[in-house]
Amino acid sequence: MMHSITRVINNKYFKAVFAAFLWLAVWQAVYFAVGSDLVIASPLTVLKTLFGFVKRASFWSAVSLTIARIAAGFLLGTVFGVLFAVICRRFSLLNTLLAPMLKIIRATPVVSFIILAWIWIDRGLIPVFITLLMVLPIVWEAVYTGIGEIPVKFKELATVFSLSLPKRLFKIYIPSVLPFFNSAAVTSLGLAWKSGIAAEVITQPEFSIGSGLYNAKIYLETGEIFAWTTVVVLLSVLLEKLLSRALKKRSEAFKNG
Amino acid sequence: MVEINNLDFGFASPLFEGFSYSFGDSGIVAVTGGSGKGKSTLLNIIAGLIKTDAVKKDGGVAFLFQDNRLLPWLTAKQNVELLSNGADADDLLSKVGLSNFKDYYPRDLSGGMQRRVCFAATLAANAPIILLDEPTANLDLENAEIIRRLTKEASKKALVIIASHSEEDIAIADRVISL
Repeated sequence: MMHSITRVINNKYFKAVFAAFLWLAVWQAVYFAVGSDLVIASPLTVLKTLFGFVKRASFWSAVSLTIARIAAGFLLGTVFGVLFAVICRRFSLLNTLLAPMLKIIRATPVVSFIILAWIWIDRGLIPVFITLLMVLPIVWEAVYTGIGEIPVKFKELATVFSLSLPKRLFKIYIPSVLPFFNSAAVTSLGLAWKSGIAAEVITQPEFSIGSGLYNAKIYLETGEIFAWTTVVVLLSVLLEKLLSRALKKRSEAFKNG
Repeated sequence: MVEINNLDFGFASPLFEGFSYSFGDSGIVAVTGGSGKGKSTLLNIIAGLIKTDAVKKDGGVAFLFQDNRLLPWLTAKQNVELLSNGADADDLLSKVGLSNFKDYYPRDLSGGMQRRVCFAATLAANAPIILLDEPTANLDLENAEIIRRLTKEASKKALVIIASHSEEDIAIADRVISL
């Protein structure tokens, strides 16, 4: 009997469900303690609001367009990050020239870029641009470091055996750099998601999660703010899991290909 | 064909001063000498990893490095295929007694097995110049003998230069250079 109970307690699904219920209980307790629907929404209100959301076509448009904007910015940031890293490794002068730009991008508050981008480009493209800007330096730096960390002994092997460029690239260089790229991609996705939503809240493009959050705030719909935030968190976790899985598959393909 | 003319090279102190040798284009040449005498350095110079004008060579090089250079994300067979120049990886792995381990990753192979995979990969390159740095290190008697037999076979079509401490390795050489 004792053994069975211990086994259930140690089960990872049980632990996850238990943790979720514990935090929901804490949330409910805080809601009771505060006693104001304006300050904090109860879990039940959020759930009801979410059910209301999923029945509306505009909700799905907002979710899909937000994902599309952030995905576009993420992909562009990744591509440019890898490109800059390769070019900077190849031409050290360019690296010296671009290094300050990298530092500036990393140090500048995201909101400054959002406001500047509002002046420069179309409102609908700002989240794409901001996401790109957040992802690019992370991927750039990781891939740049990764290229530098390719073991000398493997480079020597490629040189002595005069391996073709595709063999060097796909069998030695890319698999060596992949762990650096993978962790940067997963880290930057979280940042991309947060900064992309922040850009949407400030610039309010049509059909976006950010606009939904902004409107909820304007009309003091605390339940909706919590519901939109829940959507953001769930999507962030889901996309991160999907990306991790895709990158793992890609890494396996490089190992076995 | 490998020819060295008037090689001057060293690190903290000179290893080679006016060193010249014509290795020819086939057979086995053993390079012997104590530790730090420049055996591995000489192979690195011939391989082109240390640049010098004193070396003239005709054709590509295959190099069995002193350490086992296997890509950890590739299986034994894939490692052999990576360096292969038209050779059959299955056949070579079978010759070194590893046909049952061809799908194993390096981390799952012992040091001796890894050495044999490296040797098979070196032969797979089908290069006219084969450099072997301590080829039988970490191998038991039986497997060391297999490596020596395959080296003899390879030397019929290629120039094989072996750097080794092992008397058995030196014994299969047609010529010996003492550093």
